[in-house]
Amino acid sequence: MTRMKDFNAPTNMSRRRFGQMLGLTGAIAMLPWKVEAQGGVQTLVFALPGLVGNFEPHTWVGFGDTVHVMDTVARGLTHMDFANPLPRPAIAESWTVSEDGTVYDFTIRDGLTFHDGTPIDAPAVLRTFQRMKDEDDPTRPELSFALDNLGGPNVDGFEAPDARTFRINLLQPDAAILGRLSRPDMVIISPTALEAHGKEIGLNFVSCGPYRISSVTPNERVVLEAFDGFYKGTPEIQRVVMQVIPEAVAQMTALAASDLNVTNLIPHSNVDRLEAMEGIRIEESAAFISAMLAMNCEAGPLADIRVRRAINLGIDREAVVREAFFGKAEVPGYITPAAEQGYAPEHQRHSEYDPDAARALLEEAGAMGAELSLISENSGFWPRLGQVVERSLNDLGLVVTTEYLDGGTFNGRLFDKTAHELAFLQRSAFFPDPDGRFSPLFQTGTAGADQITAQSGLPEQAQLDAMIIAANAEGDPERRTQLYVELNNFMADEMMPVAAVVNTFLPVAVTADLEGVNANALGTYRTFLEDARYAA
Amino acid sequence: MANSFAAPPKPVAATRRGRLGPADVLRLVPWVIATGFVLAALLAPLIAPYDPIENVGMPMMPLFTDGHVLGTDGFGRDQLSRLLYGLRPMLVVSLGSVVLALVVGGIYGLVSGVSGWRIDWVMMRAVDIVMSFPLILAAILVLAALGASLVNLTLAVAVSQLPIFARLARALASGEAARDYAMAARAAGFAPIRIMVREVAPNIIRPLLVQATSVVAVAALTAAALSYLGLGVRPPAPDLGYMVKEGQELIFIAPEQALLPGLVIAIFALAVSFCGDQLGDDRAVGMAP
Repeated sequence: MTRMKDFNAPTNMSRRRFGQMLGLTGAIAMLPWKVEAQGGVQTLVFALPGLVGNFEPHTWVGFGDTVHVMDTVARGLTHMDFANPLPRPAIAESWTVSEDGTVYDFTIRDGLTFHDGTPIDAPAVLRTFQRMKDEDDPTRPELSFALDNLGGPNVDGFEAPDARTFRINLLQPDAAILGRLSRPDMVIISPTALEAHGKEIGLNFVSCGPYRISSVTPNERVVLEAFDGFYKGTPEIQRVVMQVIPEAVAQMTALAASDLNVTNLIPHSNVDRLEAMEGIRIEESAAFISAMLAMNCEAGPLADIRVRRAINLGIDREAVVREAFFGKAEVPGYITPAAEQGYAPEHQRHSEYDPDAARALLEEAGAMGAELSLISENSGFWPRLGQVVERSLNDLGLVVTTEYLDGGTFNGRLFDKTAHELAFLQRSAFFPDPDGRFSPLFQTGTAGADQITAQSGLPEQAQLDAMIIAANAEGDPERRTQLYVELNNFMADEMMPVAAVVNTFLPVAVTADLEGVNANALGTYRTFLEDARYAA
Repeated sequence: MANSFAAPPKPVAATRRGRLGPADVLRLVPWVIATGFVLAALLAPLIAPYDPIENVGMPMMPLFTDGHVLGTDGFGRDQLSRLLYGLRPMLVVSLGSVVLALVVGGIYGLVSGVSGWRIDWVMMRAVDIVMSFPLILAAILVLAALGASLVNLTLAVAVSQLPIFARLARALASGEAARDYAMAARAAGFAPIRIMVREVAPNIIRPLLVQATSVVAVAALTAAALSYLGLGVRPPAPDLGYMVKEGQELIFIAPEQALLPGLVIAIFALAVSFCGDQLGDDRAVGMAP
């Protein structure tokens, strides 16, 4: 008589099975991560957090597709190299601005081509920008946000008066327009590829960046080959492999084994350790990434500015830097970080830690013991940050409960003023211009002002809106800086819809034989690898 | 042809009256460990040296630091205190979910097994649907719908374990319902509910309890996995699965941050699994002709 397996029998983990599972898990965890042999071609391996394989520039796919790959295979009219405060020429070799600051004429470089050989001229550039503006364009993706990032309703139109001149007409001056044109969603698309693939251009993307796409394996890797027609010359490293390695531990293991050359995804906690390892170099960059605590100005006790001020005074930012970022961050001033135009040392008073003053304000407002909820993302540095901030606020006498949510749920509640009270907010700099932190976040009509902080209803908002518009329109750099200094002070002193919590950067780890990696850009997600080279 | 039956395990036997042999002592080890964990969790407020959510030292103090025998975590919280308190949610979830799954799944299976083929068929197909989801995915779905909390985590793990008990109870109940004593009760005109409760249920409860012991280990691992994914107890409250996650990024700097809670989970799951195996073995011996 043989015993038949009873498939209806309940599952029961035997000791042997348990041991096997434990052993297998350990073996997988310890497997060295390997990239395939590169056949003697000089290759750089870069870690991606994810890869969909859709390089549609006018909609958001993810940091892997929309920023890291896009920056490496595409380029726009201008280029922000993060070494200079102002954008540099890229596909446009020069530009002129009309006296009233509303008309920009860009001269397109002569003799350039896209990766598919199509010449780059003004009509080709115009085709890309028309796709942003024309809602009936058959090649346009359903969720196209590119025009909003260029200034939205302020953009009057585009023209190509001749073969080498591309023109942007604005309704009112925008001093940040050159910076906006350096964003990864402002890259120029080959019109030939656009006509051939229409809405599926993201799956067959052709532009004019330093590398061209050789092969794409979604969720795994994209292989890029150096483009010899790039406006700055052919990159020295012939091949870039952008490999999906989402786990920080796997990245560090790969880095130690030289299977990975560049990553900006390692945790702050590991910077010192990696720096001490032979063959690895850590490049720290300017702190362009800001973490803020948004306070819903319509939610219960937060409607009282004294409570918002108390919260701002009660955050122990030194503890945040020490415990959540292991010292790899800085105490901010207010909205504008020290690395950007518009910062002044006097802003540091807006981030002072004074729990006694905070408690006094809470007593005065009758909010001692008030219950508040805080929403935070549940990945990256956010849970650590959440724990320190929650502790700080509870030490004041508030009762703060933090909910750690996945990205989708978090964003759903963040953009709904009825679904949150306190919320964390991140702002990085795709181009370091002070307007990037004001008009998209704190101007009436934006999701930031209307939903995240709900500050649009405050009596001071009209003045803030006017100040934002005036600062962005100011052409004189010194005067513009001063206007942003005042803007920071006004918002902190009169409104306090957000508390600046910390400014940080993404630590960039590279193998020691690699030079020329743009760490400042990588520290705020931008990925410019064309100047990278291996030491002789 | 080789007989595929495994030899029945030897019964526990004292070498002499009142004395235990080495094999018996070895069999006691998992019970001692599991009981130790339960006691440690219960007595955590008394034996933990510090408040588990308070910063009491510098971040990441190493093992055997004066005053912090297991060091401190990345925030400066005492690691031993967090481990002791972290046992509590793991035990609550693993034991609570198994009890819940045992009660609900047991009743469900009992009704299905005794009720006959049409109701039985419908009820078991419903179980099939739940079972078609991987256990962890079923639990994640429940937590996604209800939100992350200790109660919901217990519920989620219970849902993932429920089909196991439903199937076992149904198999046992249908077997018992066909036996003479049940048939006699039916012939005597007893109501089906009475037959279920008074006749069949007492005869299936023991194997269900044995199964429950075995499943506690799986429930503990499922609970730890869900906490690791951030679907368990909210930080800063200590939770072993989340402590593994927090410690993971420090694996090259302070490996004990992830290894210690991981080890506690593994030892507890192993101990409970061994206990379950022993009960299963004892039951097999008891059932041997």
